[in-house]
Amino acid sequence: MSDNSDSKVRRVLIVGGGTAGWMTAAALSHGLRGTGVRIELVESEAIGTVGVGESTVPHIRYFNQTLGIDEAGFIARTRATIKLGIEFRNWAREGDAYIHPFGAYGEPDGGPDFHHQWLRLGGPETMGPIDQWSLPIAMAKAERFAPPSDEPGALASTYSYAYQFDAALYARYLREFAEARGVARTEGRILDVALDPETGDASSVTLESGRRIEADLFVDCSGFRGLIIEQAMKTGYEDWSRWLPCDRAIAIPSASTDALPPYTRASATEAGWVWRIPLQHRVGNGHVYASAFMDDARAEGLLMTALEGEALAPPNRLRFLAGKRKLQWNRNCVAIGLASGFLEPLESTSIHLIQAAAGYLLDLFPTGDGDEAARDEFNRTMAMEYERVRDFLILHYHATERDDTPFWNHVRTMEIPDSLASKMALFRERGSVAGYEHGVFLEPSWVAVYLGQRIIPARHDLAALAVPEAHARERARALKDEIAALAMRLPLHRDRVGAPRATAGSAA
Amino acid sequence: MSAPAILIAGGGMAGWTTALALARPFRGTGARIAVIDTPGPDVSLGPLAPAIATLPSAQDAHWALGLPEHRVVRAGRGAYRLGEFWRGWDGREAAAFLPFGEVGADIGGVRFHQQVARLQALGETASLADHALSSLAAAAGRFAIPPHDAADIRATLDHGLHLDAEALTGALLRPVALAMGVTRIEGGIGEVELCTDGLIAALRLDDGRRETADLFIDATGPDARLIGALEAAWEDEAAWEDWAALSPFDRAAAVIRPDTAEPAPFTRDAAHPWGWRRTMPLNGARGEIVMFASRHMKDERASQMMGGAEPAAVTSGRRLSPWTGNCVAVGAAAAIPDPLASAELALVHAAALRLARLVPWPGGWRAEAEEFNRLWRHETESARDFALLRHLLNRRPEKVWAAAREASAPEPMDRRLALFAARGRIIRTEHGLYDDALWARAFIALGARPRHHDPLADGLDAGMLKARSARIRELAARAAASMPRHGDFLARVNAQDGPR
Ligand SMILES: Cc1cc2nc3c(=O)[nH]c(=O)nc-3n(C[C@H](O)[C@H](O)[C@H](O)COP(=O)(O)OP(=O)(O)OC[C@H]3O[C@@H](n4cnc5c(N)ncnc54)[C@H](O)[C@@H]3O)c2cc1C
Repeated sequence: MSDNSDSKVRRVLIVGGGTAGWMTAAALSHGLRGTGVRIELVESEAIGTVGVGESTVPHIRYFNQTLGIDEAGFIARTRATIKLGIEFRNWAREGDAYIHPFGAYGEPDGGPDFHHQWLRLGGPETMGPIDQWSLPIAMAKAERFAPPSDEPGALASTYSYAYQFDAALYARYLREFAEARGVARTEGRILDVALDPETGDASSVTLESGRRIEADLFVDCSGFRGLIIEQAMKTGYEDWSRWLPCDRAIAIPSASTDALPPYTRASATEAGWVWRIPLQHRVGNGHVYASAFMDDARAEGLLMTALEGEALAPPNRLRFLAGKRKLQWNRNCVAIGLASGFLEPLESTSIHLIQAAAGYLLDLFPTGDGDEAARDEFNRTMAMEYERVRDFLILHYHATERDDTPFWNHVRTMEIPDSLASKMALFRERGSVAGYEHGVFLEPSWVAVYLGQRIIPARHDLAALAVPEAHARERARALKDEIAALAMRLPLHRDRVGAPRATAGSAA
Repeated sequence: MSAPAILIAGGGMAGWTTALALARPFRGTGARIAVIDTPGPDVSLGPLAPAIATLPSAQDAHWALGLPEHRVVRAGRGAYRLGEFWRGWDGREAAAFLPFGEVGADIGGVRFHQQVARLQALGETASLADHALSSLAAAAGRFAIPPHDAADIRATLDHGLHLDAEALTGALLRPVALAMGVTRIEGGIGEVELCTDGLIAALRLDDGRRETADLFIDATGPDARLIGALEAAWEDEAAWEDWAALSPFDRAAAVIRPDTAEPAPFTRDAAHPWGWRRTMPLNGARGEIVMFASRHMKDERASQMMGGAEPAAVTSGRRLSPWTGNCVAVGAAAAIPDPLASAELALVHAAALRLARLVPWPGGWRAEAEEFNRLWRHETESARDFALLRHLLNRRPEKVWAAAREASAPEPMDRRLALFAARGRIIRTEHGLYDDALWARAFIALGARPRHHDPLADGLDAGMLKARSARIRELAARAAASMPRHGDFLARVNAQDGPR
C-alpha cells in the first residue's frame, strides 16, 4: 500500500517574484490545494524583475484555463492583445517577410499535408507564397480575429492563438490569485543561502531583515543569477552560445500607433533582431544581438530607428548566455524561469518553459523519500524541451542565404547539432517533418519556418500525385479565395480585445 | 515525374497489409505495387502468429487502411477483446484484469489510479479494475462498441481483436489490395541480386523470372530473405538485435484449434511453473501460444498440450535499421516481439503507414530511412518492455521465474520501474505502442505497489473521492449488465453485410 503520511515536504519556498515566481506560485497553490503544503514566496522590489517577456505561445491558454482564469478579465487586466503568429522580416534574405502562424496550411483532406501539394504545383515560383493558404496569416494581416471553431474539419478550426501581454500586470494578476489561495508573500532581499553540510540540500535562506526562512523544497525563480541553483549549489551551466551567439538585449516601450496587429514581429538586423510586440496600451520593442558582432551603441541606434511611436521609458539593458543549467532540479532545489536557463525570445518560448516546468514539478511533486527517480525524470524531460526549442531557434539563423555581415556568415556556416541536421535533411530532401510527440513546436511550425527560411524541398511526398493536377490546382485556387474571404468577415482585432484607438504619436 | 515501383516480397499478413497501406495513397499516381505471393503457411508475423491479438490502436490503423472493422472481424474469424486476464504471475493463482479504454477519470492532474491508491491508503478495498467497465463486462462475457455520447460510461470502453491471420489475409487484405490495383506475382523467392553499392538490384523467382523495383519490402518473415542478404554489405546497420538474454523461456509453439464455445471477450494469459500460455478466442476456434523453458518442460509435453503443434526455438528481437538502402523490412523480418506484448500487427501497421508517407523518390532514401528507423526503435522498445514487465514483476517461486525476475532491465525500462516504484508514475517516452494509463494498469495488475502515491491526491477531498468511486462502480455494474453477450454481438456482426 502506498503511504504518504510520512511525506517530508511540507514547506515550499519560491525565491523570486517575476513571471516565473508568480506563475509557479499560482500553479502550485492551485495544484497543492488541500494537501497542507505551505507555500511562501520571497521577492525584492529593490532588485526588481527582468521587466520583459510579453509574447507567448498558445499553451498559455491551457495554463490560464487550468487555473480557472476568465479570458475576458485576463485580457482586460493585463492589457493583452491576441497573437496569431510571428512575422519574421529579413531572415533568409534582406527584404524577405513571412509569418510563422499558429496553425497548419491548407485544409485537412486526408492526403499529404498541403505544402506537398503546393510544392507539386510548382512551389513559390508558380504558386506564390504559401502564406496565402493560412487563415491565421490572413487574419493577422487584416488585423482581424475570432476564436477558432471547434467543428472538426472546418477551415476555421485550423488555427490556435496566444497572447501578448504586460508581464508586470500578469505577475500582479497571478499574485492576487496565489495570495488568495494561501501563498504567503515576503518582501525582502535574500543575503544568504544555507546548505546542509551533510546532504548539500538547501536548508534555509536569510533575508536582509535577519529573518531566516526554512523550507523542504526550494524553487529558484531568482532570475539569471540563480541564487540557489547556481550561486549556492554550483550546479553548472551548459553553454549553447556556439549555436546561439546573441548575448545582449536592449528593451524599450513605445507609444501605440493606429495599428493593432495580432502578431509579434521579429526583424533581423546585421547581428541580431528587433522585436515589436503590440499591447493594448503600448508597444514593446527590443533588440537582441551578439556583442561579439555588434557594439551596444550601434544596437541601440538600430532599435531607436525601428520604433514606430515615441519612446515611453529609458532603455533597459540585459545580458545573458544561451544554454541551461546542467540540472534544473538539483537536490531539493528546482530552478524555473531565467534561473533554469535561457533561450532567446525569438519564438517566445520562455514563458512556456516556465509553465512546462511548473506543471512537471506538480506532476512529480517530491515526498522527501526516494525522489531521485522523479528528479531524473524532471531533468530529462526539461532537457528535452529545451533542446527542441534550441534546435528550432538555430534553424532560423542557420537556414539563411544572408552573407552581408560576419554575424550571418558565422551562423550560416557554423556546425549545428546532429538532431537538427537530420531534421533539415529530411525536409530539404522531400518536405517531410521529423515527428516527435512532446515539445512546443509540432509539424506545422517546422513547415512554416523551413519554408520561410527558404528551405524549399527538392521533392514532395509522392502521394501528392494521387490528386489529378488540374483538380489540385483548382482546389488550391478556390481555397485561397475562401481563406481571404473568411478572414475579411471576422471582427477587427482592436474591437475584439476592446482596445482604445490610439492617436499616432501619443500613448494610449 | 517518375512514380516508383515497389516490390513486396512475401504475401502474408505483413506483405498484404503493407501493400494496402501503399496502394491507397498512391492510387492514381502511376506507382507500381506488386506482391510476390509465395505459397505455404504465413510466417510473415513470425512463427507464433497464426492467431494474433491486436491493440486498440488497430482500429485507427484499419480505418486508415480503408478496412471497416466489422469486415476485419468477419474475414479474420475475429472476436473482440476488452483486455487481458492475467493469472498466476503473482504466484498465488489470483487473476488480474488489464482493461483497455479508460478507467475512472482524472481530476486535474491527478490520475485515476492515484485516486484509487489514495482511497486504498484510507482503507478502502476497491481495486482499480473494480472501477473498469471493461473488467466487469469481460467477466460477464459481454461486449459493446463505445457510443459517441461521452457522458455514457460505455464510452470508456475500448477494444482490440483476436484474428486468424491467414483467414484475414485471404478473405480481405489480398482481395482489397488487388482491387486497388496491386499486382500479385505467384512464386517463390530465389536469389537476391545485389549491386556493388549494397542496394538490391532485383529478385529472382524460383522459376527464373527477374523482378526489379525502386524499393523492396521484405515481408518474408524470420528468414528475412532480402534484408538478410544485405547484412553482409551493411554489417551492423542491418543486423539483428537478439532479446534472448531478457527471457529464460527459449521454446514456444502456437496453434489455432476449433472451439465452439462462446468466445470470451478477452485474452487469457496464464503463468505456469514452466512458462506461460496465452489463449485467444476466435469465432469458432481459439488461438493458443505456449512459451516455456526447455529445462523445465519437454517439447513432447508442450506439443501434447498444443494439439500436436511442434515447438521451436524462440527468436525474439529486432533490427535497429529495418530500412537499409532500398530495402524495408516489415513484420517478423524486422522484429519478433514477445507475444505477451500483443504488438505484431501494431508494428506492421505503424511501419507500413509510416512508409507510405516516406516512400522515397527513385535514387534517394537516406533521410527517409533515418526517420523511419528512429521511430521504429521507439515502437519496438515499447513492445519489448511491455512484455518484459511481466517477467520482471512476477512473484512466482520457481527458479526459472526467479531468473526472469532477475534479468537486468534495459534503458528506459529501468527508469520506468524506478519511477513507478517510487510514486506510481509512468516516465515520459515517445512513439510507444501503449499509453501511460495502460502502463500504470499493467504495473498494478501485477501487484506493484508504489512507495508513495501522487501527493496531489492527498489534496482531494476524501468524501468526494469515495462517493465518486462508489458512483463509478455502480454505473459500471449497471452498464455491464445491460451490454449484449459477446457471442450475440459477434453473431450479429457476422450475419450482417453492411456496416452496423
Ligand atoms: C530580452 C528578453 C526578452 C524576452 N522576451 C520574452 C518573450 O517575448 N516571451 C517569453 O515567453 N519570454 C521572454 N523572455 C523571458 C522572460 O522575460 C522570462 O522568462 C520571464 O520574465 C521570467 O523571468 P524570471 O521570473 O525567471 O526572472 P526575473 O524577472 O528576473 O525575476 C527574478 C525575481 O527574483 C527576485 N530576486 C532575485 N534575487 C533576489 C534576492 N537576492 N532576494 C530576493 N529576491 C530576489 C527578483 O526580485 C525578482 O522578483 C525574454 C527575456 C529577455 C531577456
